[in-house]
Amino acid sequence: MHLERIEIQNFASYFKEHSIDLACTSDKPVVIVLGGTGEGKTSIFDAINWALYGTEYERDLINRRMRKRQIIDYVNETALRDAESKKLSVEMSCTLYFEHGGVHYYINQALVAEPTRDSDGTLIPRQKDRTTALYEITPSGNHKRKQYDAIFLDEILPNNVKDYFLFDSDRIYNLSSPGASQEVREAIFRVVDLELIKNAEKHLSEIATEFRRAADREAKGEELTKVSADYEEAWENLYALKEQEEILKEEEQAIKTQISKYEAKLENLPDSRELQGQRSVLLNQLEQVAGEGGQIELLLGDIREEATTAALKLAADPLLNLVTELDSRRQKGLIPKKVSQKLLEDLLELNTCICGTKFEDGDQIHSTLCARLEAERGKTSGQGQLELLYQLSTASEFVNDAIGDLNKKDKEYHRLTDLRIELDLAIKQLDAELDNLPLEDYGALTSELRERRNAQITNARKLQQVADRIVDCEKQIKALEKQRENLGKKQKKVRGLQLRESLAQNAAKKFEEIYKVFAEDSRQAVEKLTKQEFHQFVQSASAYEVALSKDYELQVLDSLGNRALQRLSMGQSQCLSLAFITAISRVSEKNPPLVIDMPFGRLDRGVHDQISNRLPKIASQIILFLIPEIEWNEVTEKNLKPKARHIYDIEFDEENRESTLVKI
Amino acid sequence: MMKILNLTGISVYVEENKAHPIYEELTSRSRKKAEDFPFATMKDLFMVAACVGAQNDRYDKLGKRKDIFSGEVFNPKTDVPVLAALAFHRTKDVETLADPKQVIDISQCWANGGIHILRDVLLGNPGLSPLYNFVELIQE
Amino acid sequence: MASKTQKMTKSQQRLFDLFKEVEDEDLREIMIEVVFLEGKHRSGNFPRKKVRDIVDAVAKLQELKED
Repeated sequence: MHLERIEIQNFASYFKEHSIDLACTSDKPVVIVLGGTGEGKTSIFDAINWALYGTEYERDLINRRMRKRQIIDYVNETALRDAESKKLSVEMSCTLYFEHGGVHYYINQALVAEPTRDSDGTLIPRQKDRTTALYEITPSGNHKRKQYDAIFLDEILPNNVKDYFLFDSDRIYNLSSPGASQEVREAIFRVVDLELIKNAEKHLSEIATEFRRAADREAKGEELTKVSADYEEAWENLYALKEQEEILKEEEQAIKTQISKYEAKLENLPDSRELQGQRSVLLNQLEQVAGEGGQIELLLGDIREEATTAALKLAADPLLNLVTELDSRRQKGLIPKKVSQKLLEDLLELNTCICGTKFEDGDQIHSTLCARLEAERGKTSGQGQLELLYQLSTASEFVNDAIGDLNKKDKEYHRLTDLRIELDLAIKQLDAELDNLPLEDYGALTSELRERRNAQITNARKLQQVADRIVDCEKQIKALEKQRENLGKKQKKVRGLQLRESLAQNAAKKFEEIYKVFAEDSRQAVEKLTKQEFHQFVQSASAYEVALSKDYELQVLDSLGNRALQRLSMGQSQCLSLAFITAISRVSEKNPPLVIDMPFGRLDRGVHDQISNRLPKIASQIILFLIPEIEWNEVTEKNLKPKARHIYDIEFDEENRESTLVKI
Repeated sequence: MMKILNLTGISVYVEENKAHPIYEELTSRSRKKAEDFPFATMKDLFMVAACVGAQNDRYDKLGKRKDIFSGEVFNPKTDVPVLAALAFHRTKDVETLADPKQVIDISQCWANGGIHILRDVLLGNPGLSPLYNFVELIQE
Repeated sequence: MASKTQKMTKSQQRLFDLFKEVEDEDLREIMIEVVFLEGKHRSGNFPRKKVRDIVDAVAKLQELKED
């Protein structure tokens, strides 16, 4: 998608019509709009959003935390006064021209308002009419009306992901703050269509339930009716348990977020910083040893593998007895003493007898050797038993090796479990030291933190209990399913409905399995791209490595693998979130324009150079709204101006509160 | 080389009502769950159950049976020789080893005898995880 | 999801590769059709009846094969 132009009319501080050229080239992919606070810069950002998303964006405006506005509030005041004096209505509109897939379009959003006075006598607009129109401009220059709906936009830039392509500095700041994992997870969830998989699973499950209930209604016979009722109840229980599990998982995420925030606050208190730092290091080591995917967990997997082979030693006596028996048979000549068949084959191939005499095919020696080979081949069971004898010895060796490896791994396991205990103790001791620090704020924070950590343990316990109950419930369902199927086979209609239920349910289950794999693949893809982008943005941070944990926490690790997010400067951590946003944009492969309102607004001046240098390279079209001097300064101008196709300056008339765009 | 025991295509059975639930209870492919599920596959559990059955001289014929895997999953280097040894342990006749179906039948009966003993050992001591009860059994 | 004229993204391709690993042809068919439907109606008014129809069609084919 490529934005070409936007025309605004009577929108916010823009009286009458204004046009902004947004078209870019590959070597000049940037458009810059400069304006001070309150001069109309963000209004153009809003105009682009409104033009694209219409009523969806109007809902976003109302739901915004900071500035709740309705679209009607954007009607230009001068135009409204003018309309009142002429006893006319005023039209406010935004028309956005863009290209997508080689085709040119424009969307027009228009609102007609009537000037009225409220009870205080204030002039306010009252909406009279609201229209949306989408047109395609054909190569011959005709304007063809098209249906404007969410389906059209979903192809280009779905509403649920626009916040990662059209955003402001608040988003950059929020993503870099501790505890942003929920938002990170949602970004990936939306951008890579995980939402579709989840919805598909949900819809198929619902249809399965409908078929199941229909089958139960059709069921005749006491036994089938009873089993069907039990089956239905088991499914209801399962759904309830899964809902409970979702809630607990969300709670787990929320608690983790709170813990991250408290830990971050504590780390910033000077006297506790060193102790908190030590605690962080120990906690990290503990996770590496005993956490999910840690050394202990991996080792237990290995131990299990070795134990399976080592356990065959339990058959030591039978093995020995068979070896003894076969060896005795070999001694008695009941089975060959050596593998003579191979030797005979080799001699025949070389046309040379064992004594060195050469022979020809068909002569005496050749015939004798062939007859001998046939006789050896005939001893099938003998050869097999000989081979088994060898296999028995080899098997014993494998088992002995496995026992040796098992013992080594067992030793290592005990070492790691001892280490885990040591680390736990050390962390507890640090906690005790931290508790004794005489700081007012500190006391309140640690108390909150301790409460959150206890809540985390309680939540984990509940989650485990629910997980266990889900396993039991699923087993019960499986057993009832079988009974129901067997009884239902006797009734054709019931069987048909059960078949449909089974197809829908199995398809839902497959979606659930695919979701897990796909979610993990997507997380890894985003992690890889975020790493690359972070190093592009912050070349001075080469000592750090970025990771996106399985809990969707954006982490920065130092060379020892310890968490280092708190050691990054504010600017570096904001570069991290910009790197993530860029990674999301790249993973989506939609190549949309990036429209950023005040990207440098909350960034450290120290990173302006790196970011302004990198920004023109991360998308094929970038539209930036910047505050002069604060964001458009010597450094950013040096990097961005050569890459800018258009630079606009907003001139603001304080008296009439009107904005005008001037191209510079 | 000729294979004396070709177990390909032969189904392996366990007793459906009494034994199969134990197989499900003790098996999980997930490496994460290794501590609580000492066996990754049913074949692994079957082999150990058969060894335990033979060790304790518990040879139990199967009642109602359920097939749980096919013979090709047996490891030819370790499992097959052990199965041969267990079959010989029962019949004391090497000619038994020429009949793969008979070898499997015998090992099924050993496993049917051993599975309950094995379950008690692995789950009977709550002080250790099932995996570690298994390790202790091996290290005895 | 990609329209017929659009190339698949890497993640869409990965998703389809995962679908291809589903051995049961009937399930695979249901899944692919449902996911296309989800893609077309991601912003709302999802036609649940069409999912029923998809499952029903596959079930009818199975029943015919059995007969």
